[in-house]
Amino acid sequence: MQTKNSYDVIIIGAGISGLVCGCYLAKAGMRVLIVEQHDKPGGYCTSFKRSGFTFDAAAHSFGSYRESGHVRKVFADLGVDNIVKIRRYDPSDCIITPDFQVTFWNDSKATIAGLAKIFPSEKVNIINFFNFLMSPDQSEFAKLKNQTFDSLLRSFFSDEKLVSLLAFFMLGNGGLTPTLMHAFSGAKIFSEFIIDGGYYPEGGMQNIPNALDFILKKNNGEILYRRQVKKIIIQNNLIGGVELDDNETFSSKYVVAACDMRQTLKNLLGDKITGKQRTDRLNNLLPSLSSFILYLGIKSPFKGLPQRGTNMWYLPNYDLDKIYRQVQNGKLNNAGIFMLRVSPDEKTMIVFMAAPFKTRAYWNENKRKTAQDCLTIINKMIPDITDHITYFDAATPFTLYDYTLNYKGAAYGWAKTPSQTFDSIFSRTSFIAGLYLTGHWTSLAFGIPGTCYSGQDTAKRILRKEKVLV
Amino acid sequence: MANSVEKEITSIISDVSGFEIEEIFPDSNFFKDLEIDSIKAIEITVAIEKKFKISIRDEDVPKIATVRQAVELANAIIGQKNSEIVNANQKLI
Repeated sequence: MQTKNSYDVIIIGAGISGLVCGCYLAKAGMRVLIVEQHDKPGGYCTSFKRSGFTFDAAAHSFGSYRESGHVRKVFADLGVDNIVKIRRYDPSDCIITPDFQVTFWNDSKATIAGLAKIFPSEKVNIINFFNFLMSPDQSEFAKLKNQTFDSLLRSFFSDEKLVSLLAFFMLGNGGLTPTLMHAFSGAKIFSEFIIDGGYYPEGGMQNIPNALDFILKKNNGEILYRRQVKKIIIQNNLIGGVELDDNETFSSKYVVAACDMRQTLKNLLGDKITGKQRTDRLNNLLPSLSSFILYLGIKSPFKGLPQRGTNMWYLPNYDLDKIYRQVQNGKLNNAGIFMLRVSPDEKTMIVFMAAPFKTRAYWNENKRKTAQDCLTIINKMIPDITDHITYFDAATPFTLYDYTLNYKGAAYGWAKTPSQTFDSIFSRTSFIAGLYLTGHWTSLAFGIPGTCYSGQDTAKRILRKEKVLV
Repeated sequence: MANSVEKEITSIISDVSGFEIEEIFPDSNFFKDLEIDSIKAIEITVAIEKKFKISIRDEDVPKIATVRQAVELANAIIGQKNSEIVNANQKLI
């Protein structure tokens, strides 16, 4: 007999990993409750409406949806693909530099041909690199254990401009400079976000978490919105449940923290339970960069508007370490990098600039100026852009923090450096029986492919513990 | 020594794979039995390196596909490291 506030599993956070984890568990017959502080599901994968425009808040497309792609498998397992129509845009990405333009087509042979035309002496290396990335041999990737993505690229290429160009995605899709990015994470950004990228759910990114919310409820799961977990209850070193901000308590056998790891360990468990060694480790970890995001409403499609559904990247020079330092110091104008995307319905544009967290006061003071600087830089890609926009707003790293509570507004969890990986603190099975972690703060995985992966993996751990066939 | 290495490695494999310790046997195949993929294979290899303060050569990584193989490789490297320490100490003497 279950009491009202009693569940098998309570999941903190309705981001993609929490939702995916919850859906797998609910489908297996477990009684699941998800607690989410925001008023809608999705975490970084949400959309919002302003002045008649619908904007994707942060996540704007996804990858790993080919026949053998992991996201496709998860969506098929849970039935997301029966609810949302997924379309692929071609090309998925395009990089513009002062010297050339490189297009990443759905057909990677066309991408390779385009790259080889610009870098003819590297043609064979380009083919080898793409073959390596899409290799089904798992052990080939295991060899990357101690490498950075920069060193991986240099093991294939000697042309500095080509190395920078291919490494640029690390800053945009990983929030880290390629000389610090783990080669494995970098290789996966390339294969799962770029080579197999460009997918978009009809109607906007919000439709993915909405579908997962629907699937969870259909399987007798529940979600509480606008409620925040204040404490994870531990009894005799076992999970007891959670206490919410209004002091209401919910009991459960398992708790999954699908939210910021630092707050989970420091605040929800507390320093006493987490212990000094883990707390010290947490205090010394580097998060990935945050983002400054512009949301622009377009008056009407115009000549010079970039192709819809394509991520357009601008790289002003080839010194990515210097750009990374400029971003860390808040010199976004000097760094000059951005990614612009016209929505599939050609009604909106979103522009991303990698950004540091700084302080709330800093962003209150600098939000307007940063947005203006950003528009000035975008003029290089779209002249007279301001003539074509009728709505304008921006999100600072603090906006990202406020909506998701991710530490320092980090876009991709902890920085995926070789020294910060494979630590037991990142494990999805925590040091407390019954407490699991999931999402981009755990392990090497991030973005929609990574959070689908970790959400499914965490669910499997619990189902194995429950001896439910997985 | 061999037993403690095996115990530690099984614990690492359990932590990374999500399989319970009772489900992991010396001849369990990482990829067929324990659903270990490339990301988990790296995690296991590096966790073993960190735990025993050893370095596994890149070319040896693909050779680890079972618990037994991981234990044998770790023992061989630990043994080699210990004999190097003994040699170094003898030279100092």
